[in-house]
Amino acid sequence: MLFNSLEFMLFLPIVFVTYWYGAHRSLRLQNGLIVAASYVFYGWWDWRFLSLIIISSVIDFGVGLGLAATDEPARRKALLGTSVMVNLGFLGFFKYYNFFVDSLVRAGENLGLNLHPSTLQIVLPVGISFYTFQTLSYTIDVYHRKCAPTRDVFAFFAFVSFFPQLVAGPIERAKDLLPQFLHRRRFDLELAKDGTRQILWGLTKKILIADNLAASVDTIFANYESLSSLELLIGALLFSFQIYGDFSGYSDIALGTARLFGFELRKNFDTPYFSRNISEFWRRWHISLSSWFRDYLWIPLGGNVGSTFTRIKNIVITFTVSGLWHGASWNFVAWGLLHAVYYVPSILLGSSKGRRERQASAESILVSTVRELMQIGTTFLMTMLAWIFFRAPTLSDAVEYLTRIASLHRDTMTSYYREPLALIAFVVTVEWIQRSKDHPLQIDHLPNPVRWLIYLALIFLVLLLGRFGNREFIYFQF
Amino acid sequence: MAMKPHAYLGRCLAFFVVFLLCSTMLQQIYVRLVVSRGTNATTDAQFYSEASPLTFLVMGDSHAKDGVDPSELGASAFNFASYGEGYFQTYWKLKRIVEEQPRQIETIILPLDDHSFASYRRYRIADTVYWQRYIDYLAVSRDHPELEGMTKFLTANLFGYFADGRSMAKALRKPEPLRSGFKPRPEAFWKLSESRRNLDATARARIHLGRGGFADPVLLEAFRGCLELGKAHGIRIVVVAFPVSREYGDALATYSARSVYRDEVDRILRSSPLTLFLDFQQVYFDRGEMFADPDHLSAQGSTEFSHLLGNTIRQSEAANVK
Repeated sequence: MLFNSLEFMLFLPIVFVTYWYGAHRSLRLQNGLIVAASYVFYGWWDWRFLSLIIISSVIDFGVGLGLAATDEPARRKALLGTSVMVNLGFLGFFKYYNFFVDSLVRAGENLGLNLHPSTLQIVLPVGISFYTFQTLSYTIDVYHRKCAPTRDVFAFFAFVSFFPQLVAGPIERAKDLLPQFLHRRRFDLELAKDGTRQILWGLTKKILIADNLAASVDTIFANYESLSSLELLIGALLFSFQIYGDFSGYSDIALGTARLFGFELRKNFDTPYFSRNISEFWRRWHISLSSWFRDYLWIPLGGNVGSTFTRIKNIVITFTVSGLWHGASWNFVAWGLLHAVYYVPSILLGSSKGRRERQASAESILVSTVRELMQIGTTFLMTMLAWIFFRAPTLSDAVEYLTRIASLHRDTMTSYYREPLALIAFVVTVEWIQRSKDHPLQIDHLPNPVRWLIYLALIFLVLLLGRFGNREFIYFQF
Repeated sequence: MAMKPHAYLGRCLAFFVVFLLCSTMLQQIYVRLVVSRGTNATTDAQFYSEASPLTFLVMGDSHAKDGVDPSELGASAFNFASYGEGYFQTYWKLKRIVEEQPRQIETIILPLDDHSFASYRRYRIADTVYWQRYIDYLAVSRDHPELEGMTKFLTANLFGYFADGRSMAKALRKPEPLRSGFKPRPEAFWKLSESRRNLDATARARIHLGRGGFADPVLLEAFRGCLELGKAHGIRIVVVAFPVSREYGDALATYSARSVYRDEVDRILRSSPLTLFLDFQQVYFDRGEMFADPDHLSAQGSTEFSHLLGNTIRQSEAANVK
């Protein structure tokens, strides 16, 4: 079920009312309803793949109990190994099997070998990369005794399948989200109101911004061989905001929906395009995934400790795996590697991870300094060029796209892109003004009628100019 | 902290009421300012403002709308085609015209292009408010549930403005004048580079045929219905494959849509012996200046083509008389 669909518009109020008026008496009822609703939500897309979530949940719940019952290191390692194997096994089979087989065949061809392993017609289950990482974080944290294992099966199943963040995150840590399932939720008016506003802003970014930009982006990337360099640059710019509107819009809807049910999820986007360098960008873009890789891959590899070579190696491995997580294709690997390359100067020069970087750009003043604006512009340009690898269908398409930009090819524009550029200006302006808030519709300081006017204006803007057609969220494919 | 969300639901309800009130106001503004000033409504007003008989009535989609200049057909004529019109809409429009007979009609010109029966056109009833004049959405809902008649009925009456903000912006401008329902378009296509012409043509063909379903049964049935309406009311039907650019023609060839619907269309045409089919698709393949874009005629193109079309129809009539 898509957040931007009519089904979800009916589903959400039904679950909300049942949750607060029917299931409010006991924790078990609340969690049971969340599990049932989440399975309906997921099964709406393809009920067969519910089995994967259920198997993952059963095994990781059991592994958690097993880890609680033993202190024997070898047994604990075996239990953790089971969880890792099952979860990464699902991911590896459904997402990477064909990719590795194809790559093996090509590598064999280059070496003069004629390999004939068969590929399979595999459907990628929606959200598999997200919920496997979430359940893995549980077993890893329990193994490292950072999180207490739960004996409440309903709470655990609800934690794994919680529908607002099931298919595209944020990837929650067990220590943050699981405790929220262990206490009966009480309705919090302010939380629900803020959640509703966040849903509205998320839908605006998805339907008004991302889906409108998608039409131009699709045309430009499908025909890049015959377009001018300027138009290709515009294509990369539009895609940068399409993917931002799409994914951060999804996260806003997820966070807002969770709030309606009394949950606080972690912030997943924090105005990433106002970052002043690449390391800051990665602290603001897809925060839940970046921190997952930081905690479970980069730090175990050694993190920022050791020789310059070791630190660079750790960054390259982390970003390469991150790229591969996004998609089983070499262009995603290249995208990850490019970000690793962007990151290297900060290792060589010694990065400044001071308080200033964690603050919003130009904190407490309206306009940045010229220096800060240039830093923001440079960082954005770097990420924008990297997105070409993310959007192009293949690695060679991405390289050709970039080569054509560099060739400074001139031709008449197929469109003036006034509307897409105006939409980008709109979202940038709103988010810049409200950059220190959790989301731009945190406008409690304004009088009630003004707030309602703003909500109505936004709703009618979406209704009048939005693209409706249940276009899927980009991150569903990962 | 409250256990139940009474206050929250109360606020949501209050907001929803305010939203509905604003929506109703916007709907009224949309109907009065946008729909009534649009090309379709302006064409309607011109058509119904006179009662004089017509030798030719042009109906169909943008190929017909931009392709036939009524003043160049050599007889009294009116261009009643509309942008994005599929055979489902044409059928309902024609039904009302022949039943109410606001004007006597001798010949109706209809398009028969590669995309005429492509499935996407049956769902593409944009401008739901305007089409409500002709289409009984509730009847459609009963007879063809898959055509979402009820949704269109609700949209037309409550949320006609939905996803049509761009038309609202256009409506603020002065309405463009129409000449018997026709408005010439500038010759822009030939000024583009060759690669751009190919790119545009491929994109247009993809829009028309990229989704497959070249012989949609609902549209074929509507086409048959149009011919039967003509036969029942003694109106001659001329079915025309409109000229397209070579670039667009080449792009069409990759889909072979005609071969998919040819047999069925031949059967329908044979069942209406008075119907004349004229294929002009390739007539201007080497004349880029005749086109405003890959598949629509320019001002010059529509002038020359209208002469050609009028003369061809008259010649065929003369041949029949002999």
